[in-house]
Amino acid sequence: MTDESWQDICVPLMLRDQAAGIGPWRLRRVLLTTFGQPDHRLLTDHLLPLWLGLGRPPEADGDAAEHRLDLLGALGTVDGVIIADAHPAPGWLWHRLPCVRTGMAKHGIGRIAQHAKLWLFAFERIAADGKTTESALEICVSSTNLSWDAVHGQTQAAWRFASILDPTPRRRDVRKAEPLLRFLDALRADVDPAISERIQPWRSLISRCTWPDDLVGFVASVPGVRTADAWGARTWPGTAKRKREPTCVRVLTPSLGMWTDDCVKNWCDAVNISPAALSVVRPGLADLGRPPLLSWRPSWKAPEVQLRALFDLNMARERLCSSSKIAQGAGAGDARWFHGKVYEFIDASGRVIERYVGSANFSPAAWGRPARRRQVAISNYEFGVVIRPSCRSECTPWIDVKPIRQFKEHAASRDTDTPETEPSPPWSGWTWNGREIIGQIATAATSLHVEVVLHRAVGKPLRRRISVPPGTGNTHRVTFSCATPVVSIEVVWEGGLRETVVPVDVRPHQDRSANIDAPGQQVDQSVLLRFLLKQYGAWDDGDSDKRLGASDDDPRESTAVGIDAHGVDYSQSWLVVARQLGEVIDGWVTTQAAAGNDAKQVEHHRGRGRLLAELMSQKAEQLRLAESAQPLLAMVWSTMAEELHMRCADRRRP
Amino acid sequence: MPSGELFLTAPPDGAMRRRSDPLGLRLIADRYADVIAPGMNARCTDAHWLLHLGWMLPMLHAARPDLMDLEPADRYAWLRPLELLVVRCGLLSFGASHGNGAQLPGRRAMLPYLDDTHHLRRERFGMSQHTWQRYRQAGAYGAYRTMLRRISGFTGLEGQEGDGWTVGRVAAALGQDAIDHLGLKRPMSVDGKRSPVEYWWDWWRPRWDGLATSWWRPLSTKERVNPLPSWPGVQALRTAFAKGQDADAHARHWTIERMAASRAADEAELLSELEEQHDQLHGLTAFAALTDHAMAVLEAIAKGIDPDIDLEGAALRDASEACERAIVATQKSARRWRDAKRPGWLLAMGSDLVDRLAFDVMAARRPEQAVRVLLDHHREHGHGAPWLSLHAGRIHLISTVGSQRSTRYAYRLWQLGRLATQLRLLSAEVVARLWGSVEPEMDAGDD
Repeated sequence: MTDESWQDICVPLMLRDQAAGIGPWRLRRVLLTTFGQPDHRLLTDHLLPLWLGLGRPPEADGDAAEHRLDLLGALGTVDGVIIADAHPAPGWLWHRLPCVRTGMAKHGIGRIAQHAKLWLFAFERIAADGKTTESALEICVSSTNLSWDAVHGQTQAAWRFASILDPTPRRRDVRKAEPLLRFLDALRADVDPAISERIQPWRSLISRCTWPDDLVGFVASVPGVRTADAWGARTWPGTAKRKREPTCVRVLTPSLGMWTDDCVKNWCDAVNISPAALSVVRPGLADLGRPPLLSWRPSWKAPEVQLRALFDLNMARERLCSSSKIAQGAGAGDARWFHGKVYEFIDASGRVIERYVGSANFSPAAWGRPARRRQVAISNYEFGVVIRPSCRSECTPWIDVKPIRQFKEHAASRDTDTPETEPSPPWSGWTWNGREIIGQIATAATSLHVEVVLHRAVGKPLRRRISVPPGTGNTHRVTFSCATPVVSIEVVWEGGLRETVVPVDVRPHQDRSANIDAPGQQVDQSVLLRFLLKQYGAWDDGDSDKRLGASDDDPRESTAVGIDAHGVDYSQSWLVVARQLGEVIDGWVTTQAAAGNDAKQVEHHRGRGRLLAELMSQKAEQLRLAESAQPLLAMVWSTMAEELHMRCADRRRP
Repeated sequence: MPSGELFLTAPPDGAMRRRSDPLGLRLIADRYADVIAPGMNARCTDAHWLLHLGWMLPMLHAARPDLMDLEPADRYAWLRPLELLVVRCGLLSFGASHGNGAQLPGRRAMLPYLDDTHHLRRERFGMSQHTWQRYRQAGAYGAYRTMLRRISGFTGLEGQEGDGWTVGRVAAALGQDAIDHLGLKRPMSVDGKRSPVEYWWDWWRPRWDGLATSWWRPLSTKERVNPLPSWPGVQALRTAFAKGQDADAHARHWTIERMAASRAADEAELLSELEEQHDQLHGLTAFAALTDHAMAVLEAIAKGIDPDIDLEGAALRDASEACERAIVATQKSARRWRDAKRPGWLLAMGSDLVDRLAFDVMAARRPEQAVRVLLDHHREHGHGAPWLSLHAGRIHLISTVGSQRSTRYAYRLWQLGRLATQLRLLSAEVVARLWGSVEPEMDAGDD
C-alpha cells in the first residue's frame, strides 16, 4: 500500500519495528473492547496468529489441531481480556482469552451498550544490551469491532500510536492520558470484579507513555446520568486552545441518532462551534457508481423520521462527493462499506484543523442528552481520539461534499441509541477459580429466579436454581463448588431468555499457563485428555492422541485404520496402548514425587490425576459403546483409569 | 521508533483469504483422506522437500546445539533461511520458467531480486515483515510438518511420532546423504549474536552453485515425476514412508498397492475401487460426488455475479444453464448418498449434516429452491472465509475464496501418488494415467 493513509489495522505498529540484532517484540498483554460479540474465528484464524508471531493459520487439512496447540501454547504467556457488549458464542479460545460483558454496575439509564473499540497492546523485548527488557505500549482507537465483517467487509477510520515506555511517568503525559485512565476505571467497575485485576496493570503502563504532539486528547463516554463535564461531548479536548476557528464541522457516521434542538445545541456548545457550522454528511447513493457507503444493509432499516429531524434542523444538507477519499475507497475493487466515524473540523481555507476518529456515531446515546441539573444522560461506552493534523497532506479533508436539497434515500440506523424507557436486561458474570464457580447477577428487578446449567468438561451438566430475594440490591453473588473445568454456563432468566457464558478462569497465572488444560467445548475433552497425556509421559507432539485414540476425531476410528487385503490387522495393538498408558501413570507418579513437600503442587497434580482418570474412564466408555466397539482396548483404558484413580486416592503413596 | 498514525483501513491482505470449508464437511473429507493417506496433508506434493527438511534438521542442530531450548518461534527462525535458500536455488535452476508450478513458497517475493544477494540477505529474501512472519505456516516446513512428525523415525524414535525437530534415524541418514553426495559440511555452532539469515548465507554461499542439479530442485507439476536417487537416506525414507511397521505406513502402502493394481482411468474410478475394497471407505464416492456437484453449483453462481457491474448480483431466477446442470447432478448424487452404505465412524463425524443437505437438495422442486438450500447450508455450516450470501432473494458475492482449487474436498490421492512415484513405490505411468495434466492443489503461499 503506497498511500500511507490506508493501513492494515490488524498488524500492530510494534510488530513492524523488528530491528536487526535485537530480539523481536513479544506480546505480553492485550485488552480489546468491541460492540456485539467477538468473532472466535477472526481471532483464532487471523488476529492472534499475527499478534503472537505464529504465522497464518494452516492452509492444508490435517494441520488445524497443530495450529490450535500452537495458539494455546502461545496464549499461555499473554495476559489478555476482551470486554464486549454480549457474551460470545462458546469456544475454546475464551478459556485462554476471557471475554466479559459490561453491565454489572447500576447505571440508571436503561439498556446500555459497550460500543467502544479500543485495543491496547503491551509488548516486551530483550534490549540491545542482551540483558534488560524493554516494554512498549500500543493503542489503537478505531471503529473496528472484533467481527469478520468489520475487518473484511468494512472500511474503518483509526488512529494508533506506539511508545516505548519510560521508567517513570511524566506529569504532562499522564494528564493527556487521563480520559483513557478514567475510561478503563469505568470499565473495571462495570465488569466482573475478578477481571478487574487484569485491567488494573494497564494504568501504570499507560502512565509511562510519551504521547505525540499532534494528539489533542481522548474523548470518552460512559453510560449513566453524569455530570456534564465528566463524560461525553463536554469533555471534547482542546476546544479552548484552537488557533483557528472551524467554520464547518462535517460528520460522517454510518448511523444517526434521534436529535432534537436541545441535543444539537448541547453538542455544538460542547465542541465550541456554532450549530450553523454543523453538517451531517449523507452518502450519495446514486452517483457513487460503487456500493453505497451507508444505508446499504437491508436489515438496517432507518426511520425516516431521523433523517427528517436532521433535515428540519438544517443539518443534513451535504452528501458525500464521489471523488472523496472515503468514497473512492482504497482502490479499484474495494467493495467495502464505510463504517468509520469521522468528524472533521474545517477552517475558512478548507483545511482540516481537527479530526475525530473513534467509536461514537452521531447520536445522543453516544454523546449524551441534556438532563436535569447540568447533567447528561449517556447510554453507550464510546472512546475516540481528537488529532490535530501536523502536516499539509493530513489537512486535506477526507470528506468532500456537495450540497443536497432533499432526502429520498433511507439512512442506515442500527444505532445503539436505545430509548431510556427500555429496561436494563439482567446481567451475569461467571468465574472459575479451580475450586468453585462464582457468579455475579445484576438485575433491576426486585426478585428473580434463574436457572443455571453448568456444562462441565467431564461429567453430566449440573443444574442449579437460584432465587434472588427481594431487597438484595443490584448485584447478587452465588457460589457453586466445582473442581472440574466448566466449558460453559447456560443461564435461563425468567421469561425464557437464555444466554450462554464462558466462565473466566481466574486461577493464578502459573496454573493457567503452566499446562494447557483449558476446558473447551464437548470436542475439547479430547484436547484436554491429550494435554494431560502429554504432560505425564506421552511423547511430546501434536499427534500422540491419534496413537492413543484421544484425538478430536471419532475415537472409534482413530486407532483402527483398517484391514488390508492380506487380512493383516494393522489397527493398533492393545498391548502398545497398555504400555503407553502405563508410562503415563509412571510419569504422573514421578511428577507427583518430584513435588516433594510442596503441598500445593502435590494437590495440584493429584487433581490433574483425578481429572485424567475421569477422562480415561470416559474414553473407555466411548470405545465400549462405539458402533465398531473395541472391547479389548476399552478394557485397557478402563483398567488404567482405575489404576490412576486408586493412586490418586492413596494419600500415602502416589 | 514508530509514531502515531491516523488512517483508513486497507483491505486485508492474503492472510484473510484462508482455505475455507464452504459446506462444513471437511471433517468428513479429511477422515476419508486419513484412511487413504494418513499422516499427510494436501500440501505434501513433492518428496524433494522431505529430503531437504531431512538434511536441514541435523545441520540446524549442529549450528544451534541449544535448539530444543528455544521457543518454537525462535527455533523456526533458524530454519527459515535454509528453506528460502533452497527455494532460491530451485528458482535459479529453473531458469527462464522461474519455477512456475513448482512448490517454491516465497517465489514471488524473491524473483525480482534473484541475483541481488545483498538485497535478499538484508531484506528478508524480498519479503515484507508480514509475509516473513507468516512463512512459518506458508513455507515448506509448515506444509510438511505433519509428515515430519508422522513418518516413523523421522523426528522421533522408531514406531513413535516425532516432535518435528528432533533428528530421528531418517533425518540423520538424509543429513549424511547431503554430506556424502552433495559436499555439504556440518556447520560450526553459532557464536556471538549472528542473525540466522547472516549465518546461513555465509554457510551456504560457497556451495549452492554445485547444488543446482536436477534432483535437487522441487518438481514442477508439469514435469514427469522422476524418482529420487537411491541414496541410503532416501532408502530409509522410502521404508519409513510405506514399508514401516506403523499403522500410517501400512495404510499408505495399502493405498499405493491398490493404485498400482488399478486399471482406473481417473480419480473418480479409483475412489470407487478403493471404496469397494475397504470397509472404512464406504460412501466415499457418493460423498465426493455430492460435495463436488454442490460446489459446482456455488461456483456457477459466483461466476454469474459481476462485481464491477452490480455487486448485488444475479437474482435466483437468473441461475445459468451450467448452474442448472450442476443442480441436477447434485440431486442425483444426493439420492446416491441416501442409498450408500456407510462406515461406522461417519455418524460421529457429522454424517447427519450430509444427510440434511442431501435431503433438502432432493426435496427442492425448482432450481431456485436447491440454490437456496445450498446457500443456506453454506451460511449455517460453512467454515473459513464466507463465499456467497443470500439476502432478500438476492445473492451477494462476499469473497472469491470458494473458487480456489484448494477449497475443494479432496482425498490426497494425487499427493500420495506423486510421493510414492518419487520414492520408487509406484510407476510414473500410473500417476500420468490417473491425473494427466491435472494442476496441483496449491494454496496462495505456494506460488
